[in-house]
Order: sequence, then C-alpha cells, then structure tokens
Amino acid sequence: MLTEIKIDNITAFENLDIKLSKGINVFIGANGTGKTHLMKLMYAAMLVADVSSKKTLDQILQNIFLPDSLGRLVKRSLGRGSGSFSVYRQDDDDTPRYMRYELSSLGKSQTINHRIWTKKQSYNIVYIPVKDMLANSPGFKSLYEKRELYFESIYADIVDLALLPPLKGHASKEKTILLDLIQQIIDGKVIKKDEKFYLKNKQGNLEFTLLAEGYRKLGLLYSLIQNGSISSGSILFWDEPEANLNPKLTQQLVNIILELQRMGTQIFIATHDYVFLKELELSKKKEDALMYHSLYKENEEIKSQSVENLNEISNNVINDTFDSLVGRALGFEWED
Amino acid sequence: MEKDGYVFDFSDDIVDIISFDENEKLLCDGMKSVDIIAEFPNEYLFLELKKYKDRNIDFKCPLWKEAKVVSNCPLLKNEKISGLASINRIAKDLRQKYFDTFLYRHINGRNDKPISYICVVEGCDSALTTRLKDKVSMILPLKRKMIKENDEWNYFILKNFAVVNVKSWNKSPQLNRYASCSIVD
Repeated sequence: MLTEIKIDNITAFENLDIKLSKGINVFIGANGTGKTHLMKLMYAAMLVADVSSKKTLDQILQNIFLPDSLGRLVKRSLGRGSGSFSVYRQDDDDTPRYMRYELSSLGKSQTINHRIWTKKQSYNIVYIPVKDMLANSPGFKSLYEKRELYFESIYADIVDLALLPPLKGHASKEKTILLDLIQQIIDGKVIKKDEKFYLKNKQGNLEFTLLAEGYRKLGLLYSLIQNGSISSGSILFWDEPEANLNPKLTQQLVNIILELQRMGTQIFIATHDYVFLKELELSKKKEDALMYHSLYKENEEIKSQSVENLNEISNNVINDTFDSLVGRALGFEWED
Repeated sequence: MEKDGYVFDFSDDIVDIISFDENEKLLCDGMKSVDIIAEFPNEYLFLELKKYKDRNIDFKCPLWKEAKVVSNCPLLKNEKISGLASINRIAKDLRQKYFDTFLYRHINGRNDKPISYICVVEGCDSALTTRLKDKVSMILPLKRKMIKENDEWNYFILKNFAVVNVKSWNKSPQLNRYASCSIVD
C-alpha cells in the first residue's frame, strides 16, 4: 500500500506532502487543483514497482499525461526549472520502500532508489478513468497497440484489465458478496465475447452500448473484481465514481467501495459529489480506514488538508457552494 | 438571550422577546409552539431552535433519508429508544409549531404585524437545511404563494420562512439585521 506522496514543482503542484490512509483516500477540491494529476503520479509510480515492468517511468508518464514533451510536466515558471515527486510504500513484508523521480524542464530525468522500489511481484493496480471505455472496447486494444492513438494510456490499461478472463476456482466470501451487490444493482452478470461486453440476465444478453452509462461503470467494476484485478492488496484509483450515476445509486456504490476497503483494497477517489461524500460519512463504521484530502488554492499555490472526518475540512468547496446557495436564496426570497 | 443552547444578540430596535415555548401550558393539549417570538417595530419573528449532535457523538442527521438517530431531536422525545425520523416528520412538526402558535396569538389578537418564521438547525450543513426549507415551504402558506393563488387575500399568514444553521444566519444580511446568533460553548 502507498503511505505518502511528496511533490515539488510538478504539474500543478509547487510543494505538497500528503500522508495516505491504508483504506480509502478521497480527494476533493475545485477543478484545476490537481486531484487527477495526483492519482496519475501515484499510478505511474506503482506501474514500475513490478521489476518485470517493460516500460520506464519516463515512458509511462509520457503516455499517461500526453504532454508535448516530458519536461512540460515540470511546473511552469520563467526560465529552466526542475521538479520531483517521491512516493512511499509499505508491502506485506513491512519494509518501507520509497522512490524519487526528478525531472528537468528539458526532459532529463532520474529515478532515485529504483532498486528498492521495484520488487519481483506483480501488483494489481487499477485506474478507472471518468469516461467509460467498455462500450468502445472491441478492437480498441489492438488498435492502441498498433497505431499512434492520442488516448491517455489509462484508457487502454483499463480495457486490458477488463478483458482478462475470470479467475479459476471458487470465489472468496468477500468477492461473492461484492459481485452479488453489483449484480443486484445492474440486474445481471457481465460477460465478454470477442472483446465485447454484455449484460446477461433472464431477458438475454444486452450489449454494453445499449446499457445506461452508470450501469456500465458498475459492470466494469464487476469484471475487475471477477477477474481478480481488484482484490485484497490491490490499489484502485477511481476518478469521479459518481459520474453518470443517479444519486439514488450512490448509497450502493459507497457500500461497494467500503466493502472493497474492508477486503483490503487501498482506494483513491477524486470526487465533486456532495451525495457521495455524505453517503460515505453516514455509512462508514468506526473500524473503516478513511481519509479526506482537500486540495485548495491559496495565493495561487495548491495546498492540502488531510482529515478523518468530513466536517473537519476547513476548505470544502462543495459545502462552500451550498453555503453560498443558502445566502443567495435568502437574498432572493426574503421580503422586507 | 440564551435559549436551548443558542445565544441571540438582538438588534437595538427589538421591542419585546418572549420565550414562547414556556407558555406551552397556555395552549391546549396537542398544540405545539415555536421557541421564541421576537417583536420588532414592523414585524414578528418566530424562531424555532433545533440542535442535532454532531457525528462524533454517534450522530446521523435525521434529514438524511431514514438514518438511525441518536439525538436530542424533539421529535424523538417520547420514543423509548432512538428511532427513525424522516424529513417529512420534521417538516410537519415545523409546520404545526408555526400554525399552533399563529392560531393561539391570532385568537388573542396578537397577530397585528407580518410574521417571519426562522428555523435554526445546527448540526446540519447547508445542503440539508436547503432541502428542509424547500420541503417545509411546500406545506406553509407563504405570502408569495397566497398572492399567486388568489389575489384577493388582504391578510397574509406568513411573510418569510427560512431554515438555516448558525453559519448561514450570521452570513446573511437579511437575518443578521435582526440578531447575531451563536452556539453556547
């Protein structure tokens, strides 16, 4: 699991140090405060943690962020500059591991502690982007491999993972609970045929292109749990899980996320949704590991605040918006 | 004035303040009352005060679906154990408090100025107070609704209605001119 990330002068960040929860980490903040960038940096670092990884961190960062040149990832300032990010991790062997990636605006880079960071172990690392990809999966994988497609690699990665066949053998109790939960919501199972996804139920097979976008997202989750991509020890990055989902389903979505955490998955979520945050607050139990990380701008610099309880956040842009609505409604409706 | 865990520092033009719920015995059985009536030169302010414990003390806001509640919510006073409270029950309760108080004072010839009704709900964020305000507004005969439905009204039952927490109260120029509001430490 990841335990900490420090960033200096990379993308939107000048100086940031965030200690992470072993369970659920929720990033909130206005647009442009770097929630997605933060998750992508950690995702990239974990992709090279497996010693057999074929790509360098340079290549991964290039493919994930698609900058015109790698040096563009250094926070923009006058003249030449440099930046770095460090990620800390603790595996089951309890050995603290750490890597630091340094980059100049000319694109020169070096990774410090690379040997300590990598291990002969395959990690289950999943990044679920905001946009659904399952409906567009047929042919996408081979096209992405053969052609220069201007798609961030997270889209190809998620299609790759979703297409993996289910694991052999009996499913664990936790896994069965989770799959049942999702099955109840989407009213069926997810099956794959020739890189196409279908929802299978009593009425037959329904193509994913005909399925509501919100359900596709849960269908993706079903596939990832079924094929073991998300399991105990996995790290899941999920950008705006609430996107395209009716708030009515948020309670079930939150239950699934909490169950994943209880199963031992470390989860990173970026959200803009009040209902999602409120459901999480009301559904979490004392023993659940959960941290909220609020990102906000102060004097043009992005800062962070990490707390365990939602009401302790002093810079909650979502609540501030509701406060402002109350004030404006009073001003509009109140008669002298 | 200190009342039910709140402190109100009323503006200088206040004419009279009545801690009205202490007069509840004057009302008939089954009638309810608002907590405070503040009289200003040109209007009355009916204040209903609710205070829900925060999450740290095993709190689940009753406005949120049908969550289990461990709170000092007046709705639950007579229930043996913490029970279920819904936004509808709270809305109806707020409506009854207003109407019973209005009726009592009307019969006694005290409704001689327009009335604004404010419910202060600490422990709920602005999203929840907005939802509750919308819900209660639907079942209250607000002046603007009365005008819309029938322009022959020459007497209005309720001029303004708001549900706010302390932060919103103090930020609002409309409410701040009556009083500033804070929580007893």
